[in-house]
Amino acid sequence: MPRLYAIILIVTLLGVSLLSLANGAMAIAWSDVLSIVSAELGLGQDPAINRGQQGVLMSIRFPRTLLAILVGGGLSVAGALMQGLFRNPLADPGLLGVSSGAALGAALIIVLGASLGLSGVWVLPVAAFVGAVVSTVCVMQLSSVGSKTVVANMLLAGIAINAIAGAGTGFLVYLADDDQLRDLTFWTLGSFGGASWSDVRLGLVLIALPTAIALMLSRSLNVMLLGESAAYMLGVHIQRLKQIIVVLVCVVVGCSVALSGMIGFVGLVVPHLCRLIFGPDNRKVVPSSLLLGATLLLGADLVSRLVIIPAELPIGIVTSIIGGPFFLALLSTNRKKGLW
Amino acid sequence: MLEAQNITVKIGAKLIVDDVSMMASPGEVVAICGPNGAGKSTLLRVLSGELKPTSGQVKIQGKPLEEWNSKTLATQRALLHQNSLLSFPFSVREVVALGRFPYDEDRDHDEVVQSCLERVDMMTMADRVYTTLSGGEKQRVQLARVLAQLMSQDSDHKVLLLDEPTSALDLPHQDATLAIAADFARTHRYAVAVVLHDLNLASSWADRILFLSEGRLSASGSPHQVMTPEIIQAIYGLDTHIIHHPDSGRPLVLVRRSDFNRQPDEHHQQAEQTD
Amino acid sequence: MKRFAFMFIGFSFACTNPAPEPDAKPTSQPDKQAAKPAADPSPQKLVTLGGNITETVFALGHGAKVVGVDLSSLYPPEAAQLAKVGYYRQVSAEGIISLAPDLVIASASSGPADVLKKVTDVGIQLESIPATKTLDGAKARIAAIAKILGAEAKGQDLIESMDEQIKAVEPGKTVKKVLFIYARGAGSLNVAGTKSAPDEMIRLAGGVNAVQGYEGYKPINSESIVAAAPDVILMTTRGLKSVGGPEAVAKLKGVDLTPAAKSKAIIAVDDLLLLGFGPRTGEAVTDLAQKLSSLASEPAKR
Repeated sequence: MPRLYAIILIVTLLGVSLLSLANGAMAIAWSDVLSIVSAELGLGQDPAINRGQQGVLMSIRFPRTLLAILVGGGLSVAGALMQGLFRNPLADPGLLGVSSGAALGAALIIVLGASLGLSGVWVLPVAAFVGAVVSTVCVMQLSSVGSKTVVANMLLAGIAINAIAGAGTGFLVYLADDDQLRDLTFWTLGSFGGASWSDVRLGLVLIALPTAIALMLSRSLNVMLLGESAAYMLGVHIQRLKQIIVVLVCVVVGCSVALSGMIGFVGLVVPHLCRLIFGPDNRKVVPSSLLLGATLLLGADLVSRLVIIPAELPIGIVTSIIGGPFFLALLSTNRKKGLW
Repeated sequence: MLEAQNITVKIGAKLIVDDVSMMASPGEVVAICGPNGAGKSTLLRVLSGELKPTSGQVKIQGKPLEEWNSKTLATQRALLHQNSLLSFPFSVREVVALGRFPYDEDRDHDEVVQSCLERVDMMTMADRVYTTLSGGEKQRVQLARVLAQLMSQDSDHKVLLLDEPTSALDLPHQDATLAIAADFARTHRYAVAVVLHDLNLASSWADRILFLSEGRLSASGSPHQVMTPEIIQAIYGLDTHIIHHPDSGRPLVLVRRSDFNRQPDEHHQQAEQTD
Repeated sequence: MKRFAFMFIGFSFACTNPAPEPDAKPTSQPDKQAAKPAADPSPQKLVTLGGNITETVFALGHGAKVVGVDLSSLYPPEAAQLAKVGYYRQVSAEGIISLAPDLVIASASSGPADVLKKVTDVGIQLESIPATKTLDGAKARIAAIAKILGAEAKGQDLIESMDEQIKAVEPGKTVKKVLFIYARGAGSLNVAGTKSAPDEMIRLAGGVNAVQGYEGYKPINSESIVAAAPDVILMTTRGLKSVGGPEAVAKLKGVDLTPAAKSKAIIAVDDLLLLGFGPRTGEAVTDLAQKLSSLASEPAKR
């Protein structure tokens, strides 16, 4: 990827990260940010540090910032992988049923968790992740012909699983009392409000690692765009590649959804945007999606925290409100250029 | 060198390819012809390794397909498909560069891409967006990509497979494509196998023609040997004239049209009456 | 597209139609602080989470100390003007912390738990108040909050006057069968069974819940409603508005065949007042009892 673009994206991400750390409902001056951080690193304690500020910076803003970067980058790369797998620039991870499966898992816990005797902060994320995995496994099974995974079948299987999971969730919505319904709604809108350091650690394993693997697949992904037969001719192990892509997408999206609820739109728009700006070469699209997705989601989180202080706007709304029109604008200018 | 021994492909109860054995030696252009549904494309897919035959074996450079590492195999044999599924706005240059996948990324591909583009006469459109090209132009780009796939240090004795490469091309480019394939056969000792509908193209460019009919190898030999009215009648059920090309002497097929033996005047009279 | 529509509708409901806390169903309980430092004898800055919690604090005379509330704290009007930290089930940790409260008084059904934990981790005290939707629950809440604020005397006053108001309710000549419908638009209608907030209110006001067959809320079932044959339909004011007024309610499937619809006995009470089980519970009961008995004089057409 051209050096200049990479540098611009990285610098922007760093800039937005710093903004994210320094801004929020609570006013923390830059000097205080620095003192708190140096204290954490063991470089000397500043006795004037306010415990509230320290708590807000270290246990709220830092994990939140890092998680937003992980989720934003992860979802975007997952979207890029899906668009390569389906050879369609409008594909997104939802096609595999990952999100609807996760939603069903979460709905089960939100609505029936108490009656099932399940409690604890980890029950909901685990259920969401399990839901995501189960959905994906179902889609893979349904789209296999012999030992091969047929992408066209995957699309249909995804539609079916989405419908079934959606019906299940719908039924749970029907059963839900008012509190549960609002919990479910908020979960569907996504939030980084509860981000903790253990979330970040989990994200490093289940999001960062698969994303790094995905970066290495860029060249193969390009060749896949020629069609499976042509890719086979060029030496790509297409069955293996398809399976790896599905597993990566399932883990990354499943984990993201489990930790921060459903944040739609990012997996579809960011890679598409990157393709419009940088061209369809995945060696540019995948890394730029990572950086741009992380930056955008971090920016969206910042907006969600600042726009109705001291309350927060659910992040899914911010990504839709900003992303939608921006995407449309970009589409219309590119249509005139004869690209899509 | 491409060898196929006793290839049989059975899908369900249907016998698509029935015990076909064939060979394409280095420097040879072999055309595979026959009616629709004869199993030509299936045979080609078996030859390329994409489809596993029900029984039989394919060897490339003397080694059975199963024993090849897929990336190394990709440097030895390539297939030009009839249609390309690529719908992303890569530039022409980038599409050709995709053919370099089997090779390490740090090698200098630009030269290879350049020479392949020149070979297919697409240099002037090198920076055009692939998706905006016509069908024929796209096919030429794909050919360049396939050629780029096979270009390496030991650039000889590769296997080039083409699946009806001329369907979307105009006359000059039909000729040009096969000329390129024949040239690579001659100068780089490529073994070329090409599925063709057009018997006259096959006759003009191939060293040998294999006729496939209902999955079986019905006839095999040089154009002079197999392009006869009897064989064509047996395979296609058509009555034909065979003439010979004024320059190359190769046999050319003309389908008999008995109802076209009309005097010019009679035709005009009929037309006036219907007005 | 459908997902976005659902998101927007859902969120706008959360913002514009904050429901009073429902019956206590065990959900995410905020953990009590692990090591509890000595309770601040007189907290000066409060954040209250929960409509009836906020109401109680104001009723006890400590409203001036409240610096932040949740979105469902709509009464008294001064409370509605204060800084909002989010919906009580989805509060913002940094938002609460930035208001620098000495104490957060939170309904037991506020959350999410991990967000509230971030608040307590920073050293801010949090008192969790049970959310039971019964008269006893209301009284317990007043007592608990009064104790926290050191306003036991005032608390006792509130409890006693609540008891008096409720005792003063005279049962009408006939015990009316009341059906409570919780509505969020004509497409979402739930009927309250036993062990629910409306059930308790109806009983206290001298009526009887027309529905005895189940606990909690269930979606509307036209046949069951006809079988229940309520004399009165009770709704919240917002709910009534969302369906389109009493005429629209009277036309609902199943409802249209009830005695209540025929005698146009459809009444509504403010959400928080009716279902909040806050300090105005006595007032609410009196109000409801009055409404019920004023309908007694109209002949019920059978």
